[in-house]
Amino acid sequence: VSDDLDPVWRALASPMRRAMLDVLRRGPRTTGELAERFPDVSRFAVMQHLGVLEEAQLVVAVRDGRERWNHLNVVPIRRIYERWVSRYDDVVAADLTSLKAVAEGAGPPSRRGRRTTVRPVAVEERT
Amino acid sequence: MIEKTYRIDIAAPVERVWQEITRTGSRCRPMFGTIQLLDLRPGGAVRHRSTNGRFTFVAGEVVEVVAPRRLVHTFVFPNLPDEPTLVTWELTPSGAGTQVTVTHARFAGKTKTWKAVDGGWPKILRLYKQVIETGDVGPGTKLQHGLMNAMSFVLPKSLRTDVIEAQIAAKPLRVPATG
Repeated sequence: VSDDLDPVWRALASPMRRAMLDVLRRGPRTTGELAERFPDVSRFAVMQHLGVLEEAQLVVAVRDGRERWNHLNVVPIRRIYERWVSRYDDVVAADLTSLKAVAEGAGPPSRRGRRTTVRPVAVEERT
Repeated sequence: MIEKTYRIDIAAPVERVWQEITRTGSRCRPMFGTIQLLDLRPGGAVRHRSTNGRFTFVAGEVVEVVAPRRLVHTFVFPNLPDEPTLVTWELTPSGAGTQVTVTHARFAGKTKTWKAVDGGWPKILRLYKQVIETGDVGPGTKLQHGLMNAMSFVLPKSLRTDVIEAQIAAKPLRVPATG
């Protein structure tokens, strides 16, 4: 069993690569700037890690003259989230369902007392 | 450098992806189910409106069109005070598919717009991939769009199309000259 998110999981398995992503979260960095943030790691190792992150599309490199700017791309992480955690979205949807029912049917809920119970609706998202 | 980059691979030819992202006048499921209006020429208007047209959630102006590879347009959230920013779509053939890169640039700093776009682009790109590869979005996404429509009476006046078009007529959506 494998899918196109495998390289993302592989890339995220390394604490060093996660630390690099944390740095990029604050904004794009050149490869040199990124290497400076990890004085205990050789520049060669940093570049190898960057290669793995790029392969997983967690990092997008943009050339600007001689500089190579490394940008964090959060889209693969969003895809992991949607694939594994999207039930959360369904709960939000269910919340709105009860709001809609209140708005259209029962009128405004009383400020004191009566509570509406929210039951999650199971909705499968096709991937 | 204050800009953000988002990238995804879509298993479809560049032309097909271009057709989907440049659709105009119809409901755009990946863009939160809004109606996308896109006048595909420099100076043309970009709008994302509610299905009844009364509200406008995103507005901009086309800067550059190189079909089917590149689209550049300005971008504002009309309810936020920030100056227009710049969105670049780049479609690159990659194997049998297309690599889609969205670069959102020219933020004046870490503005509200800068913060807000992270809630949009990752989801939008994932949904374009889903729509183009499978033909549709999932029922959960549709349910959310239906409910967002039903709740549109709670939207502020600052998002009303008539208010926004009057503002744009007075001050076009151009990006500041330097970035």
